Amino acid sequence: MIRFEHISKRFTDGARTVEAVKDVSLEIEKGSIAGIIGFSGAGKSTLARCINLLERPTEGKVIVGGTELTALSEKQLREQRKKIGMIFQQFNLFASRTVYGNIAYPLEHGGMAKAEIRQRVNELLDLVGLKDKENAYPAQLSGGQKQRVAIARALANRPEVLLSDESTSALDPQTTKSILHLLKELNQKLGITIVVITHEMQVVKEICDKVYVMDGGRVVESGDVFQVFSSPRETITRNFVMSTSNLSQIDELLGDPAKPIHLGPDDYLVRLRYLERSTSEALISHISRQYELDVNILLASIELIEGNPLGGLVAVITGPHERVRGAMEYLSRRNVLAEVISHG
Amino acid sequence: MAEVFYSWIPNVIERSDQLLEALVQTLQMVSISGLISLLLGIPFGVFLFTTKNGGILQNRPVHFVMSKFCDIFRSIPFILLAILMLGLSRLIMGTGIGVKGAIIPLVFGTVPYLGRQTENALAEVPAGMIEAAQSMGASPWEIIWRVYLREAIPGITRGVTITIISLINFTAVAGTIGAGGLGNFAIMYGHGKTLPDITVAVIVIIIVLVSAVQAAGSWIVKKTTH
Repeated sequence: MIRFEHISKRFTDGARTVEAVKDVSLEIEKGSIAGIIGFSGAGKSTLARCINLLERPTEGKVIVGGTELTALSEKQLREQRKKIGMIFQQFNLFASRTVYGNIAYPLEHGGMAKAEIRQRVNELLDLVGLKDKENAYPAQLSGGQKQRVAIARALANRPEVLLSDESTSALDPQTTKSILHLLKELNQKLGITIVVITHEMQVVKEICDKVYVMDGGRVVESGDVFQVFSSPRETITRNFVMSTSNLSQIDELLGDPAKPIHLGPDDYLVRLRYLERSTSEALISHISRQYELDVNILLASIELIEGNPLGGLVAVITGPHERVRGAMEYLSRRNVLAEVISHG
Repeated sequence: MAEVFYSWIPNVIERSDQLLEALVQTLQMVSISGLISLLLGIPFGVFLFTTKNGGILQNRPVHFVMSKFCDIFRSIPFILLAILMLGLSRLIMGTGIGVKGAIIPLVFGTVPYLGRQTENALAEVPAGMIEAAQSMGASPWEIIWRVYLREAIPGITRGVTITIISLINFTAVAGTIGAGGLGNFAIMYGHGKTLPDITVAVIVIIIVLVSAVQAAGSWIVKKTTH
């Protein structure tokens, strides 16, 4: 559906040149939800703006739905943009227009009869669940409602692609969930391809099929969401995984001068991370029985990604050295990344 | 009652016909040059803003020329501008005096002013709204008509209000060099013949005019801000 061939984007400001996107090639499948994740300044927003050419790449080709956008004239490009909806972090609704006026905006002056526009706007209001708000002005709406209006407006021309540029970053966690839920529903109902740009791991885990991790203008890691986040290759990806897991708290606890964790001579502080789809096995009780060890779980963080558990735990294992080592080896054979952080 | 007024403002009442005539002339000058300035100044401001670096009609040379034109005409004190424009006024309007003679200097005095005001009003429209319109396939002209001008109505109204108020000011100044109107009336009688009640009466009338314009402007801003 969306194909990038060797996209680069450089910004020149006087003598200074900043390369925001460096030689990115990727292909996003029709009907999928793709996530582009990166910290601020990673180039993800610029890359997303290359899809509808709000930013024209310095080099490379952009092909959306079989049309090479980079080869079109301005006028042809404007026609193609109607097939690519976009929503934003700051919603960008027209303040002087009502909810109805905002959703009708892309339909007006396009040769559509008033009654037809009315009907289409009603359908869209229904779709995003804002039937009773059509006469409200944006300033009278909550953040979540504003984003729903923006989604309706972006869908007015029945686009094949929806770009979401940090669309939940200004919303509270609960509203974020409801907007993500709506996006997922639209994807399933309308078969629309969605590209989600975000700096939040939670967003990707919640709705994306595929993920592209960006750092320094490059896509450094990509693939199936579960696979990328269960066995991250790059440090940056690991940082994203850590950002939603509480397992890193153990480092703070160990550094705490009050020493809340006291380890005895036979105590081993270990961190276990589930790499593959293996958490359904009762590993902890198995090692406890098999190796005659005491296992005291301090922290645990298990997330469901695409229905599969992912995460790990921090525990204190008590027992003689050889048996602890045996247990760790057993866990490694079961595809659990086991490391001793500290021992007494 | 009439006697009381007569004892307070004897000269005003004696010359009330001339005062009325002067008021009509001021209103004519303000409305005619105001209308022309609106028709020229708002588009001027729109181009001044959109031809800017990063604007939707980015054009360096055009922006440079417009911007310099603005700066030059805005830095000339109006009294000097009015004298400077006499020749041009004779050429276009056929006269340099009276209501007709005042139109050209007034337009040159207010168009750059309203242009800058409009530019500022458009700058207040969030860039995100423009980006959203672009993402929906809007052309630069559609963006000007359907986004900028519409979203900036309150800001432009504020600019127009200030412009009309300074226009009232300018007509009084133009009156000193033969444009007629309230300014001329006050200079001729209030100052020239030392009839202070006339000066005071003119000031009161101008205060009322300015207050009415401000009130109308504020009302429109309130009605169009959502």
